Amino acid sequence: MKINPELLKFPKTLPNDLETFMVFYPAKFPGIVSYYEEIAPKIAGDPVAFQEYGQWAHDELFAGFEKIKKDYEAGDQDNLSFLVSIDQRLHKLFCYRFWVVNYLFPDGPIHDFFVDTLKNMIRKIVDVGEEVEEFESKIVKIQRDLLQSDYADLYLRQALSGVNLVSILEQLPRTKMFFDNATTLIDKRSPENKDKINAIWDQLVRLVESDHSDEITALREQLAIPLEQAQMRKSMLPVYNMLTHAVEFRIENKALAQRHGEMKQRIDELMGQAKQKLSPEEYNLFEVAYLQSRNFSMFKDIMGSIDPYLLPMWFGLLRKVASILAETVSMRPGMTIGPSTMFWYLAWYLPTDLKAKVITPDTTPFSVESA
Amino acid sequence: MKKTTKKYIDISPHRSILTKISQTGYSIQEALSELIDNAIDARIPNQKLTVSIDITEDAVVINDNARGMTEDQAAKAIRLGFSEKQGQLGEFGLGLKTSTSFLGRGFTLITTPQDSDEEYVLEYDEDHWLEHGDWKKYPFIINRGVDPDKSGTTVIIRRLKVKFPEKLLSKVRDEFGLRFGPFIQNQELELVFNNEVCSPFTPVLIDNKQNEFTFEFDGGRGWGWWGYQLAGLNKSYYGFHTYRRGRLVTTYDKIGLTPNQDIKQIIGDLHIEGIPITHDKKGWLKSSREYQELESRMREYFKPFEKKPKRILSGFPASAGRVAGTARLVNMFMAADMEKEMSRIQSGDIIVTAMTRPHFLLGIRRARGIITDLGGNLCHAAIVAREFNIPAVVGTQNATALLQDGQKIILDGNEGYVYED
Repeated sequence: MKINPELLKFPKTLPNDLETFMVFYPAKFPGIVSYYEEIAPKIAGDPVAFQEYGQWAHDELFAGFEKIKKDYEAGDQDNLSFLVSIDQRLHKLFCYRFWVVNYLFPDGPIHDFFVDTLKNMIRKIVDVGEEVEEFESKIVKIQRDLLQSDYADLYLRQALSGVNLVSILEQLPRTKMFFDNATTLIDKRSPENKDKINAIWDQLVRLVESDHSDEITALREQLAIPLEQAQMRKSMLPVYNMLTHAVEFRIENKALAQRHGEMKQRIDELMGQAKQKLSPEEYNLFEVAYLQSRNFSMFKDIMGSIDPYLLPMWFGLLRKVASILAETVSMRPGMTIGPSTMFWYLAWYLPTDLKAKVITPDTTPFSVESA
Repeated sequence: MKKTTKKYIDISPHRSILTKISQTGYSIQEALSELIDNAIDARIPNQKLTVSIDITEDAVVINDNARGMTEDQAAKAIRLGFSEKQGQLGEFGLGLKTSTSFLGRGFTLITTPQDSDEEYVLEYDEDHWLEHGDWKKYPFIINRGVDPDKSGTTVIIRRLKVKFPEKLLSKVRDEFGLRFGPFIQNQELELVFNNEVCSPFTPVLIDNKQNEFTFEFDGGRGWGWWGYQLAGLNKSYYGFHTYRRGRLVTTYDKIGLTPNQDIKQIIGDLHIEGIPITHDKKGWLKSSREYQELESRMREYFKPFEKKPKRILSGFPASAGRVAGTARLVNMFMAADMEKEMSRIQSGDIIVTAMTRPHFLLGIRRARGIITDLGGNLCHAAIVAREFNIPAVVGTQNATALLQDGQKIILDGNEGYVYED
C-alpha cells in the first residue's frame, strides 16, 4: 500500500503534547528524526510489521527501564550528578522506545490519514436508504465501532471486571452483606453517602487482605488493578472507587460486556460488507486503515502499562533533585512534576556542568545495552 | 330542438375497488394502526384495553379485549365507507378494508360482543372476491355457544403481501409507542407487539422541563406541552407529535416553528380539536382556516424560544452524540488530591480536562460528556468516550482556560463543537 511520503516525515506537531516533547526531544536527541523517518515507511502501512515493532519496543522499554531502575536503586540518590544522569537516561529510553509508538504514530499525520480514510470509505460501504439522515447516523455508528475495535483497553477492562466483581460479591455469603449494604447506599446516588460506602468497602478490603481462601483469592484477582494503584498511591481509595463503580454501573457494565463480546463479529460483518462494496485496492486501504487504527489505540494501552512503575520513580527522582537544589539556590515556586520538568524548570538551577549536560544535544544512537 | 331522456344506470363500484383502495400509499405501521384504532374505538369504559399484534411469516393476528361488535355492526364492518363512529377514530369506515387488503390477500374477522354467547365471522378472500364477489350477498357466519364473559375482536390476515424483516418489526414497535403514546401513558391501553409490551415514547428534554400551552381559536383549540431537546443524528426529528382524539396524526410536525433548528430543538405533543384531517388520517387540512389560525398563533408564541445557542469552542468530534450539562473542570493530570477532584463530578456533568486518566474511571462513567484540551481521534479520552458511549470533543486546545466551572454548555460530539447554553 502506498502512502504519501509527506505523511511519513517526522511530525511537526502533536495534538496531545502536554509535556511539549515535540519541542525538546528533537533538539535533545536529534537522531530521533532520522530514526522515525527510517522506520515509518517500513511499518506505517503494514499492520503486522507495526505490531511486531510495537511489541519489540515494549520489550525494550521494560528491559531498559529495569536496567536504569536497578542502577538508580543501587546508586547514590543524594548525588545531584547521579540523579541528573538517571533522568537523562530515562528520557533517551522514553524518547526512542515509548514516544515513537505512543505519540508519533498514533497522534501524528499517519493517524489522521488512517482515521480520515476509514471515515471516507465507510460512506462507500453503507447503502443509501430512503432517509439521508438515517444514512448519516449509520455512518457515525460504524465509525464509532471501527475506531473502538474489539480491543479492550484499561478503562474497558476495569468496567468489564466489574461484572465479575459484582457476581462474586453477590454470591459469596461472606461478602453478600457488604454488597447489599453498599448497593442500598450507592443506589441512592447521594454524594453524602460516600464516607459510609467507603467504610463498608474498608471492611471488605480487610477481608480480602487477610483471607487466602480460593473464593476470596478470586475476588482479589478481580481487584488486581486497583490494588496495584492503591499500593502505588498509598491509599485504598482506588479500590473503594473500583468497587463503587462496579456496583453503581452494574447494569451498564453487563451491557458493555455484551457489546464487547459481540464486537468481533460486528467488525467481521463490516469488513465482509466492505469487501463486497469496495474495489480490491480500496478494500486493502480500508483494512489497513482499520488495523492500524486498532494497533495505534492498542499500543497506547500496552505501552501505558509502564506508567505505574516508571512515573513514581521518575517523579520521585525529580522531587529529590528539586529538594537538593532548594538547599543551595533560590527557586521560583510553581514547579511542575512531569517527565519534562528537568528541561523546563530544574535545568536552570543546576550547576553549570550539569545544566550543559541537560541542554546539550545527545547525538549518539540509542540501544538498550547502552541505556 | 333538444330532446332529453333520463335513465338510471348502475354505478355500483367494481369489485376491484376493495383491493384498489389499499393502494393509497400506506406504510405497514399505518395499516396496522387502522386496526388498533378500531379496537380503541370499541374499548370498554373504565377497563384497560389490551391489543396484541402477532406477526409471523404467514399471518398477522390482531386481537383485542374490547366490547366486540354486535351482529349488525359486524355485518356492516365489511361495507365500504360505512361508519357510525362519528367523533371516533374509525370515522371513515375504510380502515378494516384498506388495511387488511394492503397487508394480505385474505382475512378472517371474528368478533364477540359483550354479554353474548354468539360470535360473528367474516371471511374475505381477494381472489375469490374478484371473480365471484357479490355486493349484495356476502357470507356472514354466526357461531353460538361461546363464553359470554369474553368479548373482543380478532383479525387474522393471511397470504401476506408485505414482508416483515426484523429491523422493520422493531421500527414498528417503536412507532407504536409514539403513535399510541397518550393511550398507553394514560393506562387506557396495553399494546403487546410480538409478545413485547410497547412503551410510550418519551423524548429526552433538557432539564427534563415540559412547558404547557393552550391556543384557543375560532372553532377549536390546540393544547399540549413543549420542551427543548438536543438535535440527534437525525436533525429533522423535532417539532410536534400531533394528536386527534388521542391518536397520532403527524410526527415531528413543524407547525408554528422555523425549519432550521439545528442544535437546541423544540419538541412536544400537540392535541388539536376542531381542525379537519385528511381521509387517510395522515395529515391536517392545512388549507383550512382553523389550521392557519392555529399555526399563526403558534408561530407568534414560539418565536422567542427559537434562539440559536452561541458556539464557543471547537475540537475533534471524537465520540458522537449531543448533550447539555454543567461544565466541570477537572484536573486529572496534576491533581494533588485525585479523589477530591473526582468527587466533584456529579451525575450529568460534562468533564472539562486537559486529558483523561484511567484512575478517574468512576468520575468518567458518571459524566454525560467529555471535553479535553489535548488529544486526537485515538487519544485515551476519545477511546474511553466511544467505549462508554459518551459524547466527546477532544483537542480543543483551550477548553480548560475558556470554560468556567459550573457553566451551562452543550457539547456536540457529532460536529466537534461546544455551545453556550
